[in-house]
Amino acid sequence: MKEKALLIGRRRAIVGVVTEPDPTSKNSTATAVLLLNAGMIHHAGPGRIYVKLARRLAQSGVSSVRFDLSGVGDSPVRSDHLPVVMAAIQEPREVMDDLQKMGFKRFILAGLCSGAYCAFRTALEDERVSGMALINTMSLKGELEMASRVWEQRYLKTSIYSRQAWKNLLTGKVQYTRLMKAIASKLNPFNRMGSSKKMDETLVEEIRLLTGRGQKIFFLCAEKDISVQYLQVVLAGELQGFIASGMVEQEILPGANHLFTKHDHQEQMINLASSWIVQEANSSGD
Amino acid sequence: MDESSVNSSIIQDLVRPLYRGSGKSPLYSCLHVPVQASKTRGGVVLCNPVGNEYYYSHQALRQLATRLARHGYQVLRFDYFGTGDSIGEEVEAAVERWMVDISEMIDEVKQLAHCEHVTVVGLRMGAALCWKVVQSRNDVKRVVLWEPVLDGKAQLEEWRCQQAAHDEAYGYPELVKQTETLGISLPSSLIAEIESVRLSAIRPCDKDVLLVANSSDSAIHRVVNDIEKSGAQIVYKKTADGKFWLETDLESLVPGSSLSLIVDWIAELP
Repeated sequence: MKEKALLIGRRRAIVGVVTEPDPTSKNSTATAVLLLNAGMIHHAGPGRIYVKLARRLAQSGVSSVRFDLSGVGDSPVRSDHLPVVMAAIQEPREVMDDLQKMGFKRFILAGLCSGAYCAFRTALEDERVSGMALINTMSLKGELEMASRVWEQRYLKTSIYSRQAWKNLLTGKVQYTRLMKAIASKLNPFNRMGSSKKMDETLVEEIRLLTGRGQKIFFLCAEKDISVQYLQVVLAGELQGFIASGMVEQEILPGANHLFTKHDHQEQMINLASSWIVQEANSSGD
Repeated sequence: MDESSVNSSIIQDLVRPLYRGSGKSPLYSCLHVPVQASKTRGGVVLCNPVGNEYYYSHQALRQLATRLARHGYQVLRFDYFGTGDSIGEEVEAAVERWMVDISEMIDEVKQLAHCEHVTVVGLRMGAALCWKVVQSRNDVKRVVLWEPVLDGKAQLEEWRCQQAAHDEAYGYPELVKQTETLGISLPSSLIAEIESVRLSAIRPCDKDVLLVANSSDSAIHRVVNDIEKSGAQIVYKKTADGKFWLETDLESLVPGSSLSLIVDWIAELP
């Protein structure tokens, strides 16, 4: 395994670390992985999980780059005032341009939380992406109107049966505003007339576009994370259809939470993510 | 040069990521370079907290590095062995090794900034560790102890309470033995080393010291007196900034008044 720190992107201002297999390794793939910031956490990832994932991938012959979007972690803020939602797509593409010059042909994007959003949106714009590992995705479109419906699912399908959830409610360990919004959403007569059963048709079409182009998706969800309910709401019955097509996979990691704050869960997540990525990197038509 | 004289809107901050240090275990670091390199005023090394405090305070330390670079300093931030992007596994992490890392990074910044004397800033555990290192070095004239951990046992107890509250909120079984802090491994050898960390003056020294803390309890005053007795010139400043090193990334506020205090203190000294 070899690691080097470098400045990448068109302006040479994005700080990143490339992790490569040992130079003597004979099974290196021509597919590289981009690890995208989890929220505002810098490129090491929460609990250092991106570092561990990158090193595990290198052991299996897969190179990766973990980097900070402008203004996050070690990368300075942009001076051109490009909106962050645009930079979040443009900068991964610039990183891919640089990796292409280094000899890589295809790319797998992986990200936790907003990193998953960034991976999904970038893949829609760039066909060099062969696959995405979307970990604990809470939004694929930035859609705020879905939030109450997603939390409503969580509270009514899971929390209501959990002794711990009731204890948290009584001891002030829940977000009461979010809970009240979810209750209000449930009581809204317009929602009760059926709209809450609707999936997000635009998102479904976007996933059809990606999978139609051969871009595979791996949804990796922690059981205690809202991503499980999010996918149930936005994709509804379509999720099983996508999974049946073989282009989309989903794994739910029992007991884990949003940031994998237990060491055992981190290990399990890294095992699942690296297995999927290595398999895709080896089969993505180098 | 005061903060207001720096027009941040026209400055492109310069950051150089590096792997530096000895042998086969180089450390990940970021060198913040003054825009006008010809006007370099010296070198500064920033020493991180450890555990999850490292993540939550990352933004604050980067801001500090950026501001100091705008005042003409070459500033080196780095990850200790077995933390962040540096080589090494968490189970190999060791306090003794981290102190060697601090010493090596002081040498590095002297070389990179072409200077003879260095300022060292340590946050939380970084403050306790850097203080131990710099007391035996004549090339460090100024030290900033920022919200220092005064007693390693208290740090471990704080982590144990956080872990217990976290486990209870998620319904996880309580840990019988302290083996991790919110997903970061704590090998028993590291726990033993952290337990023995104390911030105190161990030898006479003639350094300029700034201690910044949001607490003014008796323990802080004891440390201030202790350092003063060693011959150091210590300035103690109480700030109103909250415990930003305990807040998650989205809730964490950059501790503006502490940053200004530290930058002004460093920049004002000749």
